[in-house]
Amino acid sequence: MPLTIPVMIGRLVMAAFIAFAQGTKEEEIAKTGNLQGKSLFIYCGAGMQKPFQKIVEAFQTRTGCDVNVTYANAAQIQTQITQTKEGAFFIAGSAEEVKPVSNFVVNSIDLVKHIPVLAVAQGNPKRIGGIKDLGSGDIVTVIGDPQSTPIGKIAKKAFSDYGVADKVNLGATTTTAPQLATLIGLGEADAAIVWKENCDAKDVEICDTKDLDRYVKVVPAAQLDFNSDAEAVQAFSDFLASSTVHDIWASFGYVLVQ
Amino acid sequence: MSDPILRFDGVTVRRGDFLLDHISFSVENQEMFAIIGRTGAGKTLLLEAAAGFYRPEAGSVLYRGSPVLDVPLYRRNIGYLYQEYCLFPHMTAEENIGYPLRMRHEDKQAVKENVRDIAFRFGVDGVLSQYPGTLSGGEQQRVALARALLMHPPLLLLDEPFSALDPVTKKRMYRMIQKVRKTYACAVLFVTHDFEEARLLADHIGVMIGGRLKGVVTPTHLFDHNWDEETHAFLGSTCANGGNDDDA
Amino acid sequence: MKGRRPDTFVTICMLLMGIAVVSIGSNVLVVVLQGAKSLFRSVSQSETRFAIGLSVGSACVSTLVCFLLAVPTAYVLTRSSFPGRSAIEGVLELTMTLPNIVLGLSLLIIFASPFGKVLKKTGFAVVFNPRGVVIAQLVVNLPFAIKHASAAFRVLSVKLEHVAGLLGASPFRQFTSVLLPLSKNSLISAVILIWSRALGEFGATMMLVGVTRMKTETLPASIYLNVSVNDLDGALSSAFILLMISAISFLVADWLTRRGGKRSRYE
Repeated sequence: MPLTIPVMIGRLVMAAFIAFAQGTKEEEIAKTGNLQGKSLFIYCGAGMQKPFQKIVEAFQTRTGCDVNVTYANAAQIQTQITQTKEGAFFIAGSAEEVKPVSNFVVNSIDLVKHIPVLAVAQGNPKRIGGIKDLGSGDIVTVIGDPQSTPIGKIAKKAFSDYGVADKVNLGATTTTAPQLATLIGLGEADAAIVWKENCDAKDVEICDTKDLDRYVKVVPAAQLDFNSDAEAVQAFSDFLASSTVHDIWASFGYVLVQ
Repeated sequence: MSDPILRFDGVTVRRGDFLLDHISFSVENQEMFAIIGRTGAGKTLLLEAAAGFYRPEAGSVLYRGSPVLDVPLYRRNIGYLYQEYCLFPHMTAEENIGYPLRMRHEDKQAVKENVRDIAFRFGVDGVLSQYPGTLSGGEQQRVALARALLMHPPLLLLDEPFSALDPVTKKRMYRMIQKVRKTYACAVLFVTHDFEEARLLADHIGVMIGGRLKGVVTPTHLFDHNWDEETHAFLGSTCANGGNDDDA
Repeated sequence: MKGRRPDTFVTICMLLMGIAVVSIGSNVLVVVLQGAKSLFRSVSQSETRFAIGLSVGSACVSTLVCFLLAVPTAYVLTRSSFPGRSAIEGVLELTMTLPNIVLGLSLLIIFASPFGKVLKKTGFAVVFNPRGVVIAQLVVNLPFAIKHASAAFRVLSVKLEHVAGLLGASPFRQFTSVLLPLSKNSLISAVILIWSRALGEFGATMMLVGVTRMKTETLPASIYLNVSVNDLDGALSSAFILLMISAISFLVADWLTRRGGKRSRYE
């Protein structure tokens, strides 16, 4: 009896080891479709997981093409692109995020609008009406890091445009946008400048103001200049412009680019 | 004339605070040789050097006529008894004693028989299935001895073998060591701080002070030899109670 | 002897232990209470089950390889003397202070280099590949494994091995019959510790293999994805699963280290 458990554990470990050395089998995808056997590798910002995952699944079902998407923050994706020189597309949070890797970009399609909003706690207890209100001392605001995140840069610009740059009580800066909404939800901050899709969280609502309308960005799909399958790349580009994809974006609350 | 079983030729070894300083002496076949000195005088280091655990800075240790370090450790066949016995705590007494035979891939039955045989001779056949942690000091020592002697080594090194024993057991062990020397036809080199013991058991006695070997004498001449002042002081040469140092 | 006053030192120690228990226990409570809510939803997703499999499998393989390297290294470091030993010991400890994400970056550079591309052609892809998970865990854990193994060996007097040698054991037999059995319990603890670290490793993994669902998504990566879209319940239920796996591993370690007959007079 005591011997069989180590033997079982040993067998499991050996099986895992063999899988490691030989590589695991790929997932079986839809057998139908004209891109059967082809594959694409795509980088996508972590904040856009939900809609993009659906888009990719729809593409896979329709064409049989194997699409691998990796989600991360922009800085990491830029590093991985520069180092590995692999990948077909980079779905970024804004055009600025693509700039550092612009050498590798062949062309860029604008997908949807990336809309910055002023997020506040559910019920807006501090009665925040717009950017100017953030200048009053009892409001704690949090924003993305102005050096490394587009949403942070937007916040900084908005503060200076509305003349509250040195009056804002800045609680913290974060490196990802969703963290900002979390802080509001937990009551650690009263206001944050985030992307519209980040507000799909508990205890967070969007402040009804037009102050940030002029800072609307676009989510680009940057096509990368590496050895990806041309046919698959073209098919995916076309697919991104299709109504199926438009519907998916819309269902998650994104607004299309005209 | 055959080579002495063990010979130190101007051996110098330094290990932490302990030092052996140009030690030279030899032990003949089947001889009983005692080294006496204070606790911490480097006596353990001398035994370790004899077994070839360390490379001397100067001089050489010869075992059976050739440098002890020329033979790999596991082929030397020297018996060694540390002061703390160094029995393997994760093995029973039986497994400890049988260890040398198991290392030589002897079959299980032969090992078992040999072990029982020698255990009986050392009076530990009753504790074979016990672990060292449950044995008394005397039992542990006899198990360690049996283990050391199983392969009939020509040389047996003992580090203060009797210092931890009560007087009755001590006397018993003296007789046992003398019997061992005869039965196993081996030379015995042991270190001790007890002069009486050395005089009682040894054919020759070496006196070690401050890492140096002051001289080698026969037991009868231990106190009346022409020693230097330091050694006389150590031995308390004309002391009435036989020279038992109170700093021993 | 009724009413004996408890010793002050012992009391202080117990108070401090209480603080430690609260510090750790409070987080465990958060994970357990919040994570249990959407646990069923999580586990019913094939993605979560894949992540569990990949996490456990990769932790097993990387820990195995880790100790295959660490134990002989520790043996040489603690039992042999050779020139440059302290320098080597120093180098082996250097990466311990690096944040994992930096190690991941370094691995990325190595495996995306021409050398890495050659490996890829021979079928051993690492970047963006599940294999990379194992390698990332291995590199992150190796210095710790070496340190643990060295500590386990250093504690044992080399006299026992000398004696074993004189009794006829070659260095290999000395190792297997004396050193290993006596350090068994320390090594088992070290293995479980390293395995847990491998399970929770994230920074290096994310850099080297990215986060691709159903391919390179480990449990920590799945937590990251959940947090990125503010699905905190989902994140905590993955954390709950990690806790459960950890708890099982500790039970296994406990069972393994408990075996053995009466070894001392007072047991």
